[in-house]
Amino acid sequence: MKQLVLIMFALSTSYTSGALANEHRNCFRFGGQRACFHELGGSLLSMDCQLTKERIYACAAAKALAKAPGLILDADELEGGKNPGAVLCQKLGGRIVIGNDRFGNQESFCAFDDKSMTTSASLAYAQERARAAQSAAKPKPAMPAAAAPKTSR
Amino acid sequence: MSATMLWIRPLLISSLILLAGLPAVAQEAPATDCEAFRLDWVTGGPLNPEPGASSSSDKAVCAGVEDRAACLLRHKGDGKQHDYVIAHDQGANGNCTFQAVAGVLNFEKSAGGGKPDVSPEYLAAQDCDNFLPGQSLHNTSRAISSFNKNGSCTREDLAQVTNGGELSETLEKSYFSSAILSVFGGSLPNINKDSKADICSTLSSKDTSPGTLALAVELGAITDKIGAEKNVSDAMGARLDVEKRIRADTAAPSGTAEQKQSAKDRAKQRANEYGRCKADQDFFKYLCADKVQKPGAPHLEKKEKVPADNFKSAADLKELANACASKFSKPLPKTVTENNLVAAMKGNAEASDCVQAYMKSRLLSESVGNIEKNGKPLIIAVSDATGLMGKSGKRSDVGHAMVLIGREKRAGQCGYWVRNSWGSSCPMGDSGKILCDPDRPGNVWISAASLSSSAGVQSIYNVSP
Repeated sequence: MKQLVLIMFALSTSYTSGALANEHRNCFRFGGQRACFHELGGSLLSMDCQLTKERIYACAAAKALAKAPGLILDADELEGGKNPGAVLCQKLGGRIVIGNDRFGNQESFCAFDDKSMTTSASLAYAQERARAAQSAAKPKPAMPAAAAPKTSR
Repeated sequence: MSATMLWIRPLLISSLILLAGLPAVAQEAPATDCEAFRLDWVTGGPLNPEPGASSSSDKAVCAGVEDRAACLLRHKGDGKQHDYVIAHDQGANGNCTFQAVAGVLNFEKSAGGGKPDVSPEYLAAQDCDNFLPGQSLHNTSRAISSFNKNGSCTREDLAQVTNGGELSETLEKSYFSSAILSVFGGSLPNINKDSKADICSTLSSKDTSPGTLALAVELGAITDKIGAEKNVSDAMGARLDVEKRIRADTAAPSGTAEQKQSAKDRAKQRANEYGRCKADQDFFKYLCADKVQKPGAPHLEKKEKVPADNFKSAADLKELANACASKFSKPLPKTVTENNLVAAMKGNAEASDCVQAYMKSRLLSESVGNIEKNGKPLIIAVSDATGLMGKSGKRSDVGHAMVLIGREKRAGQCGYWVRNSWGSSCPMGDSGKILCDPDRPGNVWISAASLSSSAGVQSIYNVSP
């Protein structure tokens, strides 16, 4: 719980006014509806997920972002090249919804019962950041020298 | 190919397979030649106007590009705004091969001045057998066969169903709850009533546009049609039987409690995906039956596989042996054969890694040469997509298919541009192994070292007609 609160705080403090400038970029269409997102330290969180008096985002999507780093995915779960963030979403109890940006590009979102949402990519990114932080703390093995093939084009 | 080569090749392959369990060692990419080239597959993004916008086309296509003349040349110099290929996101659907096949087909359409509207979801829904026990989900050949045989509805025709995950889920829910009712004692009128009620309640609870309401009416009519089919109960019963078989056949008979549970969950997931696929198949049949576009000529599939397929001559083997000479414990004979190469690699993981990385690097390099020559993208199948993109943990052999479109040196490293199907954002962009192009959402650069590692390229497919 303490970890969750700390992550919520980190998310809240990284939300700056500069993010508002990206609002248009961070708006998507879902069928006939449009929804916009906060950009918080590389993750997108639905606008209706507001800061509480304790300066934390308490919606289900924010909680999922905090929990994502602790999950491990099996190879089987990713069969068929599934978007790892989307698989994380399902494991966190969310539902996949596909949105379209203003250019028509698709983006998968993770929607929760309280109607809060984040992107699948945000969940994967949250996990990746935690992994990177862990591996940075460990000494790296030496890389062997390698051969460089001659290209024949 | 000589009989000797046929006999020796499996040795080389099997020795590599034997060594595959050893820790992966990243090999450096070809440093000597990393000439930049990328098919200018301009996606929806800053380099393109919003859909429907009227603008001076070539200006929009190449705006902001340093070498505008070269950019225009890549656009065939016709000064036209080619319809761009949007970035797709497959979400939790295991349909990467269909995404990749649709990606190549859509590129061809766009480059030819047509509308890139092949729907990967439609292609996937024509091949639900992918989910049957013993079937691999990664089968580009079947995806191509499916397209040759069935063609595709356009993406636009299916957009409101496939892009609106919520609506799609509602359809499945209504369809299958009705199906179960029908098989286990419910009557046919329930199918129509329940399905339509579900669809309408979902849509009416939202701020629905006239287009969405029209879709609701259409979907309601489709449930009528499906429900009115005389053999609907038999079909539903057969489908549920298959789902039961998938659950039973995929479950692990032994292992730890955790392994058993994992196998059970996976079996359940596969059964659900099969059911979902069949539901999509039925709905798509009615939604766009009169709009299916079939290919003018069948698309062929030519596959080059790592290792060995691109090392056939004595000169190739000599080059390979020289490149990895420092990894072998003793010098190889002057005349290198697959046989003595295999013998020298035996038990030597470092040499094996070097040989494999060298083969992969050359295959990638040659493939980009072919892309540049023919102006057509290729499909790249990799062993472990999440590993490539920086993740680690309990993962291995997570195959994935993407579209290979070019090569470029970034931050001093050689790498390859692919079109992935994980949406327009860059979820693992700071891993150092990948970079994303904010001007072309969906374009991902992966380092050559990663693509030449054990997680990297397995096969390259050319699916041109």
